[in-house]
Amino acid sequence: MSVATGVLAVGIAMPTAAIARPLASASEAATFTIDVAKVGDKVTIKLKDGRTVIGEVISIDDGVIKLRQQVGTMTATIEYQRREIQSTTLTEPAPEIKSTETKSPESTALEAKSPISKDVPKPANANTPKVYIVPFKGEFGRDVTVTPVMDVMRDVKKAQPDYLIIEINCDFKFRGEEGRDAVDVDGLDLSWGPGFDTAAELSTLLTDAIRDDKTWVKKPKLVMWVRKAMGPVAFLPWVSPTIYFASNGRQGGIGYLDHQHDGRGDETVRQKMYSLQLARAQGLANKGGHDERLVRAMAYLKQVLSVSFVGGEPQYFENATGDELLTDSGRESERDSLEDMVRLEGNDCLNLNAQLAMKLKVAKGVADTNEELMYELGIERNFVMVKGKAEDIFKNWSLAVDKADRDIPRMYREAQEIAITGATPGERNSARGRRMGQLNKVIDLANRFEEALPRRTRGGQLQGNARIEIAQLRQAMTLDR
Amino acid sequence: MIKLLSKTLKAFVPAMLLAVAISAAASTARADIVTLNDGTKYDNATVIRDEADFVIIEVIVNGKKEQKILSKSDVKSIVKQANPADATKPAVAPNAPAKDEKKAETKDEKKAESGKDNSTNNNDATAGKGKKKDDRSTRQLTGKAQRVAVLNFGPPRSWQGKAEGMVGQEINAWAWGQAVPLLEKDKIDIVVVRIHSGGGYTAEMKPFNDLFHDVYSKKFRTVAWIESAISCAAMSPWVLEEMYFLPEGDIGGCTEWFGAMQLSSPLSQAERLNEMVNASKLANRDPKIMRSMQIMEPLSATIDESGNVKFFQDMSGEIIVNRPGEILTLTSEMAEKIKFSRGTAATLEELMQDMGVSEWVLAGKAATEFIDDNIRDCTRTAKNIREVDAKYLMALRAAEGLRGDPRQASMIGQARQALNQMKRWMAVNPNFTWIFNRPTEWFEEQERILRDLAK
Repeated sequence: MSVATGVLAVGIAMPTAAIARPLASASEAATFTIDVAKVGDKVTIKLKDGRTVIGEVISIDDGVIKLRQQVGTMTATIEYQRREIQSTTLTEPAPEIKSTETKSPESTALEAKSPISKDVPKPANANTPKVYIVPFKGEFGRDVTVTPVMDVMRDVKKAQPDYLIIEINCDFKFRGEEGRDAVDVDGLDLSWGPGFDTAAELSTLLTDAIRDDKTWVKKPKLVMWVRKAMGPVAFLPWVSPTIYFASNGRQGGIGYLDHQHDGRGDETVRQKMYSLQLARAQGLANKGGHDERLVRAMAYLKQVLSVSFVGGEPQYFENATGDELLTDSGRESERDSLEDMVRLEGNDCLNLNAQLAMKLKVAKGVADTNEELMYELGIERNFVMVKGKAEDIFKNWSLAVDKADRDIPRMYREAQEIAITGATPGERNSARGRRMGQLNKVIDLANRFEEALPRRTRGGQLQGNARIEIAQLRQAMTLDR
Repeated sequence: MIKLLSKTLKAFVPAMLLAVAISAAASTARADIVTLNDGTKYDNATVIRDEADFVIIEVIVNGKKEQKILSKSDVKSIVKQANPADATKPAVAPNAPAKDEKKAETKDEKKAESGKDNSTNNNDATAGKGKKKDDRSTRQLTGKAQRVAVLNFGPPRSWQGKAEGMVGQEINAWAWGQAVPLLEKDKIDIVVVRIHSGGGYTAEMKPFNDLFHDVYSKKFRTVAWIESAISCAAMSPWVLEEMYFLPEGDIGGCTEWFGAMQLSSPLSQAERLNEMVNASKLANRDPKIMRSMQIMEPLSATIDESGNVKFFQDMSGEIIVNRPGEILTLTSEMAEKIKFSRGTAATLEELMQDMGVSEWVLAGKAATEFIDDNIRDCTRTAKNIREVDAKYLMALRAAEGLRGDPRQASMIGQARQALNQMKRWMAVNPNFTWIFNRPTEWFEEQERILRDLAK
């Protein structure tokens, strides 16, 4: 199992997940292969429960044998207790390692027992690729906003990693609004308005800011790792040409744009809004080298998109003539069921899952764990995981935002509750001074967290009103002497 | 975000004084007399251009020639002195059309014949031919590095939303006019207009068209580099021939609207359509493209073997650019495909490559900073004007209620302070006088009120 502790850690060459098997109740000696098997042997093991497993021996311990096995498109490390094993067959012996070195009997015995295999990475050196994973968690636009991301990027810059991995696992909501199903107008307004702006602005911190920073010596490769990118955060992965999905990863939840303004204003103006919003989103896809037609299919209910594969490469058709229909017209006769809409399983609008993302070559691979991702990146034998401050930065920011969200209305209320009373101007002005001080604190707090709490600050109106009130109090102080 | 108010130059914009220092005389000096309504008199002016809505004059200020654009509504009289050179020119027949008009007629005739406008070639590989020798788009290598200035037409996305980018407000022709002498002083050869804006006031579109076409393009090789140019932010620089995109760039969505997503009046729409046909012609661009950006007209294109692009206002072309029932906003991908853009460049280095400029140096710091500072100043003003206005009124009311009271002086002082603050902010962008309804007359009236209170 991979371990990352301390500031820097060497990744042990376990590019797979270790899964512990339950102990068998009987205790029978396994057949001989376990005793004579070597690390690197490819074996076929028949288990007492009737199953047969095939894999490469990673380690042999007193009671446990670890095999690296192929599971679908992934590999996994699975442990088996000796007592579970009925018989073992050698399929392919480990390649001989020619060495002029004479090993002592002690070191040979140690090798047989030790979990260290030939796949153990070389010790870290200056050429060992460094990996920095930045987790985007929580609510996009509140927990993930410009200020914490800028702080994180400063930490990333200090580490000078070779790979910058943005692990996207955000809640499907924006600014407190839960993502809902079809034609959620509020959600659409937020996703395609301030939500998009946040994604677009943040994307520059991950791309242009690094590229244009002459003091940033080693430019990292940007990798988007999609676990959950629903709602406005769905725009973000597009800016990187390198995208991976978790096996249950999803990207989408931005559909029905072409119905966002139904019933509002004139049709021509509505079409203008849809057009410009779509084009801006497609721009992010173009930036990452992805096909902008996918964004249109994610956004527009009416968009029909189908695909055929020519030489393994997807060829898109904005009609149903391709071999596989990705999205239909969304007309009433073809409308998704409510159940499909809620689960985002329908084909009215395109939503990407791991399977589809791989098929369409949007994603380069599927990875559920850090180790699997390193394997996909081809650095599983030799990498250094940077233990940066990203988690702490985001955690502290979220706590501060939550606190500010509670404090702002409370402090404003407390300011209003300060009674301007007193027998003398001095007493009254003292009260006015206290109220002014409290209002100034509200202004400071609102200014600091406005990007995460625009509803609380009403886009700056809260601070403006507070400043006007301060001016009134100052004037009253001047007159009350 | 994206607001267009249907305001015309005539109705709302006060006298726009656009001072432009030029290094060489553009006309034969005369001694025309131009008198304004406010009493200002230019004795030794030279009328460069006299149009229905405005007049451009050249005057000498501190020994330097300056051009000023004056709104006709502010001009009391123009007395033109006879120009001796005029006597030697052949008489122009009263009914003979001007040269440009004649060209337009020919194009219109062609259009009437075929039903399609075949006259505009947007991929004119021979664009350099037939153009004047000093055409900046075909400048030859001189062995000297080109001096390049990048001016922000709106705050880039990398500013993280710290400033606004509304055309007419944070992006205004006045500031861009002020930047010209700074660019000239720095001997700039190329101006890159880097665009990121969601649009703004239609009233600012024509001033920008005029400025870019009549001033910038004549003095510098001026190109657009588009991050996002929506609505008025697309229409304002539309006269620029050379357009480049960032990979994430987009341009279009030019429908004029107001209020609760209401379409502007048919008359206003017709005016905008007409203006943009003219702007398209100035840029040697097929007007069908902008038409599809303004109203729901389909657009398609076909590229022939020679690489020439022909546009159709229907779906008959090979490339569907805009579908029926939609408004066009071009992405960098489509813009490059139909040869609307001359290239897609993520960095300034790539842009210079696309422009064919191999030797260049980034310059124009003073102009760049001036524009950026103006964006920030305008943002600050728009954000705070309501507050300062409230402070002024509070102080004024208090002063009015304290007649005969020694504390009145303090309130008058506070009112004057707020008033002066607002006056300074109006100077940041002359458009603020009508955007925030604070014309010169209003300030004069408030000064009078405060003077009366102080008596």
